[in-house]
Amino acid sequence: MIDEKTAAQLVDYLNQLSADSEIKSLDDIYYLPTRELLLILQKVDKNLLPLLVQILKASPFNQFEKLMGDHDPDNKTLVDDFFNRYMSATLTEGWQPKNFNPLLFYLPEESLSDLAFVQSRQAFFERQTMYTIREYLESLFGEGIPQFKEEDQNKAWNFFWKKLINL
Amino acid sequence: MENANPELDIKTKTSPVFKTVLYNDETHTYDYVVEMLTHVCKLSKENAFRCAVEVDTSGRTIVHYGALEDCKHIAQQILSYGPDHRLPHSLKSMEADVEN
Repeated sequence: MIDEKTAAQLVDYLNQLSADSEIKSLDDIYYLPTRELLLILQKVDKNLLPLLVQILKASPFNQFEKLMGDHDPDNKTLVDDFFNRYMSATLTEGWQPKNFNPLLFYLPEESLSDLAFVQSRQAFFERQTMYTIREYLESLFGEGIPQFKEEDQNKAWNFFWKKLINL
Repeated sequence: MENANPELDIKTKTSPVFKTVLYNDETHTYDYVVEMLTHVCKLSKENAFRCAVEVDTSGRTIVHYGALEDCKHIAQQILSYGPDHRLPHSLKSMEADVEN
């Protein structure tokens, strides 16, 4: 999964975080007691957390599942902390700039010649607010977009689709 | 064996619990699963993320328990949610089914 040099750097890093056990190889983390592993994970840099989780998922002892399902009351705070940090490191929401328009980003003008691709995005298009859709349509077609009501996403899609196939 | 409590017996017979099962694939992101499950199943972000982790780790996860019609409705909504717009190669919804 990762090359030897990276693995060695990771082992060094984990040893700096580990208070009790000496970690000689990445496989050693599979044998750490849950609490000790959680304490290390609490200190791991957020950017490295997904990589550590990938390593734990490869554990022959289901280490990752044990962490997620640990119900020991003594570990509750550590488990919650791990879960929240992992969620925050995994999901990209919140990284988007203010006034982000998902249609402009994920359905850019250069993709519109692929009608099969565009058609596959109908549900995504129709989940957007009318404000987002209107901004998108105006960026593509300029002024003169019909006045759609707030719940008229499907009508807006039909307008968009007809425009595309008539281009 | 007959149930000693007739009310419970009726309830058991008339309200079987079904479940909607979501299946893993490699063309949907964690963001998609969380967004889709909070929208379709009204799960909290945390519970949706737990389901995303489970479907990724185990290949499947139960996203809803309930009456047959409810479970079918939710499975249908999952099937029609559309591809993951974050991945250009994602061209269909995730798979879901109803089990009892």
